[in-house]
Amino acid sequence: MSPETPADPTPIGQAPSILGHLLQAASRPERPYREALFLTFNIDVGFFETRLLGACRAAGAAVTVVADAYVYALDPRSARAAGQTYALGLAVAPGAFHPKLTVLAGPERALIGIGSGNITVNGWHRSDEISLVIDADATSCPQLVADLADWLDELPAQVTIGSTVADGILRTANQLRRLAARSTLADTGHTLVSSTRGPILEQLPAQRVRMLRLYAPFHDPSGGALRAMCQRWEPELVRVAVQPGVTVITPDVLASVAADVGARLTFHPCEVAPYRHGKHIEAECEDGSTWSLTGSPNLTTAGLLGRLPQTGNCELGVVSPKTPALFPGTQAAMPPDSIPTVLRLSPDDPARTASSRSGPVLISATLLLGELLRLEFARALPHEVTVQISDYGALPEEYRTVGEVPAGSTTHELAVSNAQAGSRLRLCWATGDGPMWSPDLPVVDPHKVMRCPIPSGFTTQ
Amino acid sequence: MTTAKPSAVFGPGWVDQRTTPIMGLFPLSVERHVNSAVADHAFGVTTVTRAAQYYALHGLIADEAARLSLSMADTRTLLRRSEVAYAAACLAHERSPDHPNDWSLDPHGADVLRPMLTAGSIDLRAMSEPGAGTYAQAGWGFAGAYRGSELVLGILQDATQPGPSFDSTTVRKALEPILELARADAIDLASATAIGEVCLCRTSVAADADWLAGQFTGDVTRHGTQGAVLGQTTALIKSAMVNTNMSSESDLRNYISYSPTLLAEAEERDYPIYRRWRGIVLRSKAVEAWRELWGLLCDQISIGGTASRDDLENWLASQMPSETLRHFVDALPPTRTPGGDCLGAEIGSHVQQLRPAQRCIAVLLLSAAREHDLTGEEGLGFRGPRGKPEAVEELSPHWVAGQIDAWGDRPMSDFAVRLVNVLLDRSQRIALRKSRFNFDKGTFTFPARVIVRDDLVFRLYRNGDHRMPLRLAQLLSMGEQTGLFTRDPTSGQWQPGPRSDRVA
Repeated sequence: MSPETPADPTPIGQAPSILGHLLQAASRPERPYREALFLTFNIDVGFFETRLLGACRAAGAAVTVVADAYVYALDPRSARAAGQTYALGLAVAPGAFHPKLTVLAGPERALIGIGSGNITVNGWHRSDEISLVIDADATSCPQLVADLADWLDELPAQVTIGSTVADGILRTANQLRRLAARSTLADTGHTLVSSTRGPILEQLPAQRVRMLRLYAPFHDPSGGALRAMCQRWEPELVRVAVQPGVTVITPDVLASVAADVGARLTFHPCEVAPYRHGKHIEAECEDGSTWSLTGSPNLTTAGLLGRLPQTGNCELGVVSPKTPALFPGTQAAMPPDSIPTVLRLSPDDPARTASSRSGPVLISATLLLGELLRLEFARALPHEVTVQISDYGALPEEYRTVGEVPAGSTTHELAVSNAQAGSRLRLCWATGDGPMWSPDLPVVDPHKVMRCPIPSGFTTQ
Repeated sequence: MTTAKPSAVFGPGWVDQRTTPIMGLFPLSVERHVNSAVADHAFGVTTVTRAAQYYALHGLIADEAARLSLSMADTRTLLRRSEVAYAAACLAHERSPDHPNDWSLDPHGADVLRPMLTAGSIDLRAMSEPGAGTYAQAGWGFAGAYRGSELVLGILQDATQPGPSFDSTTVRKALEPILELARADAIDLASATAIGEVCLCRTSVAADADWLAGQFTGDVTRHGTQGAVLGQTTALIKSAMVNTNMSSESDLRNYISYSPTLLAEAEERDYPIYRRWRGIVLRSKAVEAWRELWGLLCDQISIGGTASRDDLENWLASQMPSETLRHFVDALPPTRTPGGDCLGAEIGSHVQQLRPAQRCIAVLLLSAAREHDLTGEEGLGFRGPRGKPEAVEELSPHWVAGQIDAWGDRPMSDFAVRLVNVLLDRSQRIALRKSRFNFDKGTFTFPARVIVRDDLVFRLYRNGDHRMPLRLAQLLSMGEQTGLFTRDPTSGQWQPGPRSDRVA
């Protein structure tokens, strides 16, 4: 097809929600999973606990959730099970901790979702998200399962992450590896890509591209990612789908970047509702072959060009060959000057979180032996902080002070009496405007969260 | 390497998921305690029970069903026919010179039935089954709105049996013609006019008026019963009419909240429910302040529009004075005299002249003071039993008091930012609690008027009125219809009515 022909009118590809798979897994009498792992940028703990946690536990899994430390904000009245029934911890990357991964792994089966949706009502229900789901067993196990196990093994070394949830990540990797080891791995042509392995752009196929079709809710205001893409693939035509007024985009900058590198850029509107939060790059190569990148990265420098652990976001995506068309834009292009420039910072933009990064950030609170609290921080504390606890079962506004942590600490252990898993911990410090507090973080009992309901008649593997 | 079974990998693709947005009621869920307390103290009426004579009509249908041993289905048919016949009679009476010009209470189903009657006749057979185009979509017509009240008042035992309070002889004297008319195939203006004397406008002089009035006066002598509670509540309303100039429900609320006469009378007559009502009404002011504050916040976004959390935080922060929360609280008027009498801090000029958002927050902060002030029966009305979760829940006066302790030394603008986030989070948590996932259809129903996505806030629907219904207006209306209370047509002032001697 010539790059000058109108955009492909083929209906865009759809995929089933992983929720259906998860609920089916929960109804299996043998409870086939041992570990459930969720990596997310932001999290609505209330949604997770009321809609997903029960299904994971019913499927037999110990549950680990990791979210970005700098956008994390707990609604303490929503968190009833965190720390008691599942492990919740935070992670920090130079940019944002931004992967969206769901894994349920057991000795015989694995259910994996790699997509664009966070653990929120929007990410699982309301927004339009892109996802790739793998439902594997020993008889049908894609190579991606083994690749994901490798990536999970690498992850804790590439980001700053709480040790309790890092254990959960490694346990999940082990389960996937065991499944992969007992399976005949099948090559589905998919490739896992992540900023933990260098800039994602460099991991995408190098073959020259004739046409790029792009969609993401967030674009670089400077067009840095588009420039890098055009320089790598030298496309003749670039089509960008836009939700006018919603997509964060600077159309004139992108048009100028494309003109600089000799590509013809057109913008194609799509319906403004529901919100399209999916992100993808769709490439049509000179030989007619196609591939797509889907997953967590937006079309931004932090998303596509970051290199952990030095720069950018922690992102995870999948390159798929010969995928159905995902481009959501209409056939007809719209002039760039009719597209509103939206400059709001992306929530994962490092500039947005720069101010919050200067303060103390608690990323893990673990209860050891019932009377010792191990605290881990995103970076060395810039000043002394007071640690306050709101006991499990107490009102969220009721705190008691349990100790101080000196400036410079990256980890600290505090002896506490009567501490319970699920209690909420916060840091407190003085400022010129009065006291400041960090968000509450649930105290995790690493043994308690590992207790899995195993049905009678089945034995643990 | 082999090729994986196609079923192992799904996608990538746009996830096939759909959300059904619906308007939720009570988006902050701050009304729970007040609604429950009002239901306990003003039972027998609800916000949807409009006309007193319908209590009698529904009792009559149950009585007839019991007399004829009708099945549930036949009882329902009789009820629908009777409600239509009654409405037709009322509508026909509108044309009579006896019908008061200023009568504003329509019979149920009037919007549908009035044009039919004007056009010729109402097909009763068509009306006897629920569905589109009939006078009521609900199977049991408008009886559902009254059913709970009728059960609690003892007018009904169930749908096919009258209750112990029902007086068959008296009600039949008043409404039996409706049963006759309900047996017809069609009702025209002439047949409806023939029984026009049953019209709602004549309730206070109907044969069953005295019996009906007695349903709303309770019985203060039966200590510890619902009858005693209702009796004291009705007496409280009469007390307001006697002791103050009362021309609106607001006047009644203010009398209940602040009048020293009320407490003196409660003491003298040993009516604890008076004090309970003081707590309820004072708490309702805090509830209304939350609802108004939420409304003001939502009004910063047009319907279908969007704002960021920052926008809303900045807006509310901009509405605040440049002082600390503690200074703001200290400048608020006292809530009681040194002797313990309740003062009208919420309605005084200091608070009322504040900008709307500040006024809301001032009333909320005053509720924290009330939390300390109100004990005993007033405390029960204000917060319920201390051991119940509602007494200390988020956004309760207890919670507000805790916020003053925690945020007192911070600027009001910071406190405003905190409130914005608390309200947004709570609205989403409440909607999530009410949400449903339909596994078969794969649809997710999320009842919310405002949704939050990342840091963006989307407004889908308009908010309701922030005024908190306390059913006092309904009790006043029932009292007026049955002659317990009356209203001066010139001054608009409420006064005890011809049957007010039935009120304790």
